[in-house]
Amino acid sequence: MKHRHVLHILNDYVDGLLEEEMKAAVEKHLAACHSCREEFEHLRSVREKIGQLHRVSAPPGFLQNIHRRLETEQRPRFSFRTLFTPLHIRVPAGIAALATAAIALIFVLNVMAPRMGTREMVPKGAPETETLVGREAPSGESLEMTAGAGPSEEDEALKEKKDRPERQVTAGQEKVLEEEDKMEDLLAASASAKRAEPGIVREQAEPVEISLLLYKEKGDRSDREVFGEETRAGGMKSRSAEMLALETDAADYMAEGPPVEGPPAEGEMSAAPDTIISSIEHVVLAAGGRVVSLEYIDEGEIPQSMVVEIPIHAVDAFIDDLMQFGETDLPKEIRTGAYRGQITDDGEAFSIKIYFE
Amino acid sequence: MSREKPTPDSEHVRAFQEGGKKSFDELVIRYQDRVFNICYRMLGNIDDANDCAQDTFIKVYRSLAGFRFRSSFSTWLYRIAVNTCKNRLVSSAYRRNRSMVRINGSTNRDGEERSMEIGDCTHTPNGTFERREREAVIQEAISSLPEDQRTVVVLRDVEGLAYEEIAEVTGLNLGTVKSRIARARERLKEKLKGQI
Repeated sequence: MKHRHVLHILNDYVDGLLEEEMKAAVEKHLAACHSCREEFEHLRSVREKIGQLHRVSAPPGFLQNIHRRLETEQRPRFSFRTLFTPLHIRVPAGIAALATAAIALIFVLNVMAPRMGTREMVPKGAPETETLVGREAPSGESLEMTAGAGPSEEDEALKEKKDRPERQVTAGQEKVLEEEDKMEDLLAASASAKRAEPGIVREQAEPVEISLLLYKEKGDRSDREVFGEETRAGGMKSRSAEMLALETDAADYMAEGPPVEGPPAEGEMSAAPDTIISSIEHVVLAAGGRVVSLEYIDEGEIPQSMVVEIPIHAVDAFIDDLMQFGETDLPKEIRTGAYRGQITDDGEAFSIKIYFE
Repeated sequence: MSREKPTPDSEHVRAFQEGGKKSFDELVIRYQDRVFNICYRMLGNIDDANDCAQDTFIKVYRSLAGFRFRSSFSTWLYRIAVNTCKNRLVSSAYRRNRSMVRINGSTNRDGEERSMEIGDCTHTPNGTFERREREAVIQEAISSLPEDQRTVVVLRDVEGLAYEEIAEVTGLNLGTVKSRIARARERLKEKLKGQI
């Protein structure tokens, strides 16, 4: 065995990781080579000395101190807020009032108005109701026109409309309904376009749960800390190591350029993301945050779970960007903006569900 | 007389997820010393280790409901501990404290007066002066390592984790773990040459 080769695998030998045959070869070389033997003795000595360091125990009252901190951090600030905190969700009074007003407005517009319209606003003698399907039929387009070419996306959209329960409308509401229909058509077309996009697996039975860790940005960004994170499972690949965001963040990236290990070059960063995972990384970095951990089975597929860290000022932008991936189920605090009042110095964790399309 | 088999971590985690908050205490008691030791060896200071170890368990408490058993609990816990320490290492408060010479005892987060530094054997009453000196030199050498090398060497040579487990805790490839450990030991060897 060559001298250089032995030096290369000496650590494995010290750790007892070599197979018998290789181990015997190293031992044979060590018996004959003085410098390698000296190197081996040094390595073994270092390893032993570190291994012999005394074990430092947690101080007495460690558990009680954790309890104390948990209790302090979970205590609500105002008793009034407990009215809104059945699930330990603190909502500022102003936002609660706004939310109540919004709910009342939606109730009036969606529930009260249609009933009033159909009963009182339709003049006698005129047809009492007009259906959406009935209104669109005279446009000249019929299902038969495209039947021979197979069901197109437009056909599906029309069929959806046909299958939709007929809604009663009045002349005053017609314009609003038309706008709604246009919006629905646009959304349906957009969803179809996304489905047709090649190269990305978009079937996802279960939503991906994203743990969103929010933190206040202090003067020094490095004061912030990471919360819990999932690690890979046996048999699953984890990109954590190579992930650009794990050991750095957008600020490091922009300020210092790519480090030796981990982050990609700036050109790669700005390049259009080609997978869902890289798209998510892109969105997180754009918000000035970082991906703490990410699990996936295949790089081209939708991640299994992820933990991301986002500064509080960039939450709205991040959510906006995230919504491009599919339907999102946001916690109430994020939807209402109440999270702003909840972030302690230790940060706060929220859970977002996203149904990737 | 047979000793009772300890309850697996996974059972404690499940019990916690079903509302049994006491199970969290069991996990803390089981792992507090290991986590504390990792934090201490990573940070080289009892106060910082105490804060980080507490932070680790608080993060665990908050996140445990969402733990999906994709790794073992201990791996997950060590990962949180390591990341918490990494954050502490780069924090301005930590750097400021490191650059200051402590003359008086410090006060930690719990308001307790402390005056412990690298090599302090407060929790090991049997530590002799010589041993404390030797350990202080070794700890100083570990603390001088770059953070990436320090992490792997603490997990491997202090905690005795297998290479595969270190790869899982750190999220690194096995090859990267090996090379980092080799580089760390090489540096330690140079630093400790002639000192101990």
